[in-house]
Amino acid sequence: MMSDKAVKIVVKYCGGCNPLYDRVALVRRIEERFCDSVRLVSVDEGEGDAALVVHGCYVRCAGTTELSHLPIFSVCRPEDIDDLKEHIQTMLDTHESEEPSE
Amino acid sequence: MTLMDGRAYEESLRKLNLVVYMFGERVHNVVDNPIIRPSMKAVAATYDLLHRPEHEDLMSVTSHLTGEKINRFCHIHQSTEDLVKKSKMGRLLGAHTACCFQRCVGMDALNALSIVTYDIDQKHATNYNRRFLDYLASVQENDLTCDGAMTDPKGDRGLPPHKQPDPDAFLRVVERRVDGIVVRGAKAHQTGAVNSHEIIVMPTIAMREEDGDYAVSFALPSDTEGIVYIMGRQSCDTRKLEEGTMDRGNQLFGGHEALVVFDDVFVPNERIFMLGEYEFAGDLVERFASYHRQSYACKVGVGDVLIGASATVAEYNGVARASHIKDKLIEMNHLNETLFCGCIACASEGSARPSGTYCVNTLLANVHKQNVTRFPYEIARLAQDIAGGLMVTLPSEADFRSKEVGAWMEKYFKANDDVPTEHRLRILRLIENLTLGTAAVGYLTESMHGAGSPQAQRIMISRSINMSEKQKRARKLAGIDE
Repeated sequence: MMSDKAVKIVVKYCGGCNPLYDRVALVRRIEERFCDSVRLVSVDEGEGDAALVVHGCYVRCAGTTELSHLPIFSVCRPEDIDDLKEHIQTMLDTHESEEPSE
Repeated sequence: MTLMDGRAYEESLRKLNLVVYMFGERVHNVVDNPIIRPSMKAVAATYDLLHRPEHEDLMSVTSHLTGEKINRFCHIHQSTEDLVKKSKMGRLLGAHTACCFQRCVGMDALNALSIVTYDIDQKHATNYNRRFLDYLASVQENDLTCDGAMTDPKGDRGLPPHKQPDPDAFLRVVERRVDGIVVRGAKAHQTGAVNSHEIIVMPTIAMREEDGDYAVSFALPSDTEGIVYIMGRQSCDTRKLEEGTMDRGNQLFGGHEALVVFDDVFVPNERIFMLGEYEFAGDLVERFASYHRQSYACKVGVGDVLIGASATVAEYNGVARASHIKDKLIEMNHLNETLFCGCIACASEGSARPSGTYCVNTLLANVHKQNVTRFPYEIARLAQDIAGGLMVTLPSEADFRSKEVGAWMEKYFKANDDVPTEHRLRILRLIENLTLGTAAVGYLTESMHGAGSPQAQRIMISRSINMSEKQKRARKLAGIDE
């Protein structure tokens, strides 16, 4: 069951012309790891607290203009997932500490 | 604004009343015809992938006319980034479908006309560009697939249009009315013609004053009265009529071509983009050809699939660790990525034309296409080398399913014990499909002749290089005083 305190992260992919890894599977792993606290949404689904830009390679060609007002995490290889988890966890911790106490 | 998905696109085609012939008979249900349908599914992929987040960045773009999100196939390139993304989109769709997805030709026609209608207006104070932009707005609004129709039958190749024994060898104006024109002629090799909502006609060669009636460009709905489509054959095409699907090779997609006849067809004024401005016919051909030579980025994606199939069959045959197999796969990748270099380079080195439209670098686009006339053949040769002769001696799926002989096929075509025999047969059929079956039309012969035969690119390469500068540099370094 997802918490109502869930942080919303907008996911934007590059187009995937020749990706060096399975971008969708990487996002799925993030979704599973943070299923209780993070909601991943597409660009068309509206605003978020941060953006995750998933590039298939080092060219990092995904357009990010529409996300420029958000903190952006970007990945371009599977190994980036550990840093990404850390970033998201930090964001969640900050988010939690900023929540008004009941 | 309509951004169709594949299903909506398919339904939109059902509303067309096309006059299509195949095997000497009228095809009344084009969409569901088993030979044509895989090609419709390939175009449908250009609609579906836009709605997938992991591909949207390549498949969609913001319209410079309306600021709205549109399919990239309806876009006029506004930057080199747009051109690069076009190349990447081609690779993506080539790899997704392993065939010609047919929609690039309309995009290339739209971009070429955005440039040339502007240039004609500058010289002749005509109003073609406004007309074109109104038309473009409608194409974008309705997310249409356009067939870009350039290649005339051409009759005697040694004669210009006006000297042909049959004056209809090149499409021409046969009547001028207050409200439009009547045209007669044909366009050959039209990829995706019966999967298109619109057909955009352009002249096929540079012309002189006497060819004025042939210097004509316009767009019409594909089911306009008087337009007739005669489907081209592809090698192994009737396998799509057989029971079972394994022998088709590609289970999902395909391409098609057609001869499109214009039997005294009326074109209203608002859809005419060139009428008699013969001195711009060559420019339109050159612009379109440059864009379309870039579009052969798609073959890189098809190459991705063929390389993947070759590596897979090597595993299935139990030879994946052989050094010569590994080396052949490296060579295939080297050739394929060299092709990718060309389509990225001509896009990155693109520049703005006076109309504001960005066009690819002509020299590099022609170099790219020249490579495309060669490298897929070598990639295909290596694929067949790795696959082995079974690819062309394999009995049919019906035999494989047969109670009488199927068990023998299962027994004697077994290779790697970890791999079901059927998997081996399926991957062999895919390689057959790509290198000498229906998909070889697109991967090989279309690579040779599509967007102009090899000699056309060599002429453009010759015209585009600065030979005197190269000679000057050589003489200077050799110590030759001028």
